[in-house]
Amino acid sequence: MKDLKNKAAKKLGKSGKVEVKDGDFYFFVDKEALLSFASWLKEQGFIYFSFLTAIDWKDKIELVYHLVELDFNTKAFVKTLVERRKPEIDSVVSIWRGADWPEREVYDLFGVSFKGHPNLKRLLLPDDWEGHPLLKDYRDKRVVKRPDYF
Amino acid sequence: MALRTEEFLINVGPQHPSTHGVFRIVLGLEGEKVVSVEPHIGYLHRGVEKIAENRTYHQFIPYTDRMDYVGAMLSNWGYVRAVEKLAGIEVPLRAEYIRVIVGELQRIASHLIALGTAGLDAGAFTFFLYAFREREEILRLFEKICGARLTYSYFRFGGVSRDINSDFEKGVRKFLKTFSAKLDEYRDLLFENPIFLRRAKGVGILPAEVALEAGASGPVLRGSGVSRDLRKLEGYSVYKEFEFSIPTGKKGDSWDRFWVRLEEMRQSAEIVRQALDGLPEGNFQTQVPRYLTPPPGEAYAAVEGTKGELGFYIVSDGSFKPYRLKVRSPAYANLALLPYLLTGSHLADFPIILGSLDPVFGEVDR
Repeated sequence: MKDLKNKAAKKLGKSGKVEVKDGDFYFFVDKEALLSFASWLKEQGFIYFSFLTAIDWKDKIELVYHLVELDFNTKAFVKTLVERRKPEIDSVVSIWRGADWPEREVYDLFGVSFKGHPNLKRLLLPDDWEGHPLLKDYRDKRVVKRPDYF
Repeated sequence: MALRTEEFLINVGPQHPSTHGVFRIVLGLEGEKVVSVEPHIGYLHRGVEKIAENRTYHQFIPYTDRMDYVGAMLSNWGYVRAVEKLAGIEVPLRAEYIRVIVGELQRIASHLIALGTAGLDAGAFTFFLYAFREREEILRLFEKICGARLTYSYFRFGGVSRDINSDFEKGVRKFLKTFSAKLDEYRDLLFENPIFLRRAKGVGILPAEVALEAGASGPVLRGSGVSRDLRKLEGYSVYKEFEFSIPTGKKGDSWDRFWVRLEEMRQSAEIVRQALDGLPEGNFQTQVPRYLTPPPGEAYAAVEGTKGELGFYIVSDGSFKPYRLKVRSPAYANLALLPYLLTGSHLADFPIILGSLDPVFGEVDR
């Protein structure tokens, strides 16, 4: 695992960068390079798909994939930025089967669509729900705005 | 002349006794064989992650109780650990020991529910009553230390809300005295019961590589023979101080998953005994500001919850409230394996396979 940082930097080239913090690897990857980097990462032993989530940074949406390598319990966070208008990214379900529900959840709550997902439907909310609640500018018309205490 | 057949769709839930909560699943059948599976979750979705963005760090603790509501102590623990990592809060040694004691008692209580309801699914009603009798003792002990039986909110950043007293300690020791003998009795009663053996052995086989790729954890993963347990692997809190083993299954069938839970209870009782013996004097809390403002950044911390790796991923922007909070729910990842396990099995095996995954829908839907 020692030379993973160099190998990953070589693999990514111009399409991303690597950081190591407290023994955890952080890979910042361009969205075009995600799919090929993901399958490379799996070959390096990161077979355990822990979770996928997204963060709404108001100008961009950041996707965070958490993967674990089991022999040394090495943890990797793969981060990708997507546009906020019509966010779209390649699906990694073909690489990790555990990405199926998490991708549907991110589609449901953030509106990111995953190209190549076999069954991209809302997961937690009803099918006819309007909007994507975890976006920072989401407003539900039925909710009365409560005073901001803080 | 060939008989014309077509797929028969059967809808189970969202209110159905064998689904252990509000869960709906549409099964396509050919005779008795399941050929297509479509699970529907989200009936208990309360938007906990969105709520977290509008609460201070302290205010969110009670919401974690309502996620895994049969393992609330460990839900608390996962959250406070992530915030402690984010804000760099030290925890006194005594508090860590108390956390281990209540955490392991909670694991026993939660596994008792998993096994009790499994007995119920397989028609072993007697065992269900025994399991709930033991759990009741643990709930009474928890009531003594925090006043609640289900939603404890016992953990605080940098410690726990109240110290434990000698009354509690005496009660735990009394419980531990007979518990191991009772486990032997339960093994004979349920696990070597011919009916339960035929219902659970060889049913819902989960190969280790599939479980790993799907991100399964906890007894579901260990039932498939993978010895992955964060208590041993990362030795967070004071788990390095205790001697315990990690039971694993051999075949990865439903029976193995239940068996792993039974043996884990034995190990948990052993950890509680060691922790009580080594309980140091000192503070049970550190002083933490009421309006906690962690520095901007992110942290991920996980504990070995009752269902598996329960992690919290928190992004802070330096204000009173989390900018983003993500719950890595173990029951959610385990439940996602259901289509794989059910396809090709018999309809009658559905309750026992679902029960062996032990989903808690408060945590699946969040």
